[in-house]
This record gives sequence, structure tokens and C-alpha cells, in this order.
Amino acid sequence: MAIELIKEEAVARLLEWQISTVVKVRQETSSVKTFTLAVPHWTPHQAGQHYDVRLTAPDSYQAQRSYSIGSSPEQRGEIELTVERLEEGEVSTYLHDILIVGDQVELRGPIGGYFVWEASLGGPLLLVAGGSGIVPLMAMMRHRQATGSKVPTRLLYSSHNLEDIIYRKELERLHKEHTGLEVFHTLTRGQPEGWRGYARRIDLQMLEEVAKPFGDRLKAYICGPTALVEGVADGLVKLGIPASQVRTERFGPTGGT
Amino acid sequence: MDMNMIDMSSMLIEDASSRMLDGNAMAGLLYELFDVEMTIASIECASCGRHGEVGSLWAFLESPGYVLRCPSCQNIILRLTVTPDQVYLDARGAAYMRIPKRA
Repeated sequence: MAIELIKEEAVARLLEWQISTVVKVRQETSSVKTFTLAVPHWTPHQAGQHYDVRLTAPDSYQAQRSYSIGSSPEQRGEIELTVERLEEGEVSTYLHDILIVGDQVELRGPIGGYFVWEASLGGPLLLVAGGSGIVPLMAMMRHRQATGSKVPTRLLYSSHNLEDIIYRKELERLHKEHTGLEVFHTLTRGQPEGWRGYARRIDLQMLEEVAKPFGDRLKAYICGPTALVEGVADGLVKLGIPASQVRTERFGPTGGT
Repeated sequence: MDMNMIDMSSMLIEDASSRMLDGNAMAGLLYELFDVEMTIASIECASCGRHGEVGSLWAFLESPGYVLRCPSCQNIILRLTVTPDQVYLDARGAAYMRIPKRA
């Protein structure tokens, strides 16, 4: 009941720009930072939703990007945006190189109703991420933990190298807590000595190994670069998963999520 | 000469796919226009008849032009052009849209 009321409130509110304040900056990897933003008119989001961030230059030129929320809706009053610094990105470079604690950021959200999961939707849940595509899926896993959900969940996460794994320690902890959440890593560019995870790009065999225990009733959420998303979505359909149970979110230079 | 033409076209296709996003990426802009969450609105493709949520369509965002395509037949479903004080919306690629009302 409470959840229903919250949802209605979120839908009923107008999507207005507001000014948030940076309360924390955390370096996740060499090219990824998490910004914790205090949001004055905060409303609970659904895991998987995003915020639009808008920068305005002194000459009133504006640049706008969408960034997935990494925090769970149970973290009230603030949101965490985990952002990869793209060399050519006019917004991500500003966030990374200029923004410090106490600075203000204009944003609006939460937005999006398609690539979302909440505990009441159940599972089993197959999450597949490439690089910073982990962010909206992390919100789903954090929401799952926060609500005490026992929905069987498997994350398959593709990164270049060990140092590029975003949220590595937290993922290790979630995996070890034995709440029915299992994490599978693949490292595509280089592996440390004694690496026991996968060591190649995600392929059909890997998908089958990870997804098989869930049968064809699983709900899949895939987020990453276009090529990865296309490959995994096609692979799941080949494995007999109905396309209606597969949700995708691609990111690219223009989207920034 | 012919070889050059072929190279050019494959480059264009690669370039386009690298900028391809999902309908989710247009959620903010569509919210501005319709004042509701539009990624869960469903659309029927006028070309192939596929039904699906806006969030499941392919999005190509090159400000000031925004295009949503059908993932089944690649037909252009929606075309939006945003100017400083107006928005052009070309929806001839959609047979119809079912838009959730605000609660």
C-alpha cells in the first residue's frame, strides 16, 4: 500500500528542474566517480531510473545528459550518480574535473518507467552489465538488499581489467552474504594471476552457463554499450527467453548513462 | 572509386550504431511534451505492426533532432525537432500510441 501511494505521488509530480548540492565524491576507478547529491525535492525513485543533469555556461549555452541512479530508493533525500569520464564528453569531464563537495548541480528526475525493477516484481533476476552499465543494475541490487528480498539474482559483469570493475568490494560483499545473489565477472582485456572468473567477451556459452539455473521464466536487464546489449539480448532469445522478459538500456557518447 | 563508396557506407552504419540508444534516453524530453512518463506508453509501428513500449524503441539523439525507430523493421516511428521556442513532432510512423494518464 505504501509503495502504491509513493508511485502515484511520483507520477503526479511535475518534472521540474531543481538545484542539488554535492555532499560526497568518491573515486570508484581511474575513470569513474560517484557523486552523492542532496536533492531538495527528493522523491523515491524506482531502481533503474535516471536523472537529467543540465550545465549552463556563462554565455547561457546548455548541455544536458542523462545519468542512471546508482543508489537505492531507500537512501532517502539524496541520490548517487556514478559517472564515467568520457574524453569527448562535455558534461562528464566537467563533473569529473571541476565538481567538488558543496558545488551545485541542476537536475530533474527521477525519469524512466521501462528499465526499472522493484522487489514486488519478483524474479528470478538475470542482470548483465558492461562497464558503467552496472550503475542502474547496482540500484536494483541495493534495493533488493535494502528490502530483504530473496529473489534469486545473478549478475554477469563484463569489464576490461580488474581495476576497471566498478563497486568491486561491494559486489564481493553482496556475493558473500548468501542472500541468493551471485556475481560472475568476466575480464576481457587482461586478468590478474590466479583469476578464476571468465576471461573473454560475453558469448552464448557464457550466457547459458549463467542463465541456465533460472530456466525461461527469468527477468533480464541488460545495460552496457550497444554491441554488448545487442549480443546478450539476441543470445537470450536464442536460449528461449521470451523477448518481453528482456529489457535493455544502451549507453553511448550522447546519452552518458 | 567503388571501393571508396563501400567503405564510406559501412563507416556511416558503424557510426550510427555507436550513437544508438533506447527510448529511455528520451524520457525527459517526452515528459516535457506530454507531462507523463512516456517510456511505458505503448506504440504500434505503422510499418510492421509491432507493439512495444517507447522504452524498447531505438533512439538516435542528435540535438536538435531526435528519432525513434522500430527495433523490428527499423521504420522511423517518431521524429522530433526542438527549436528554442517550438517542438516539431512527426508521428506518421506510429499507427497509434497508448499513453498512461496521470494518477
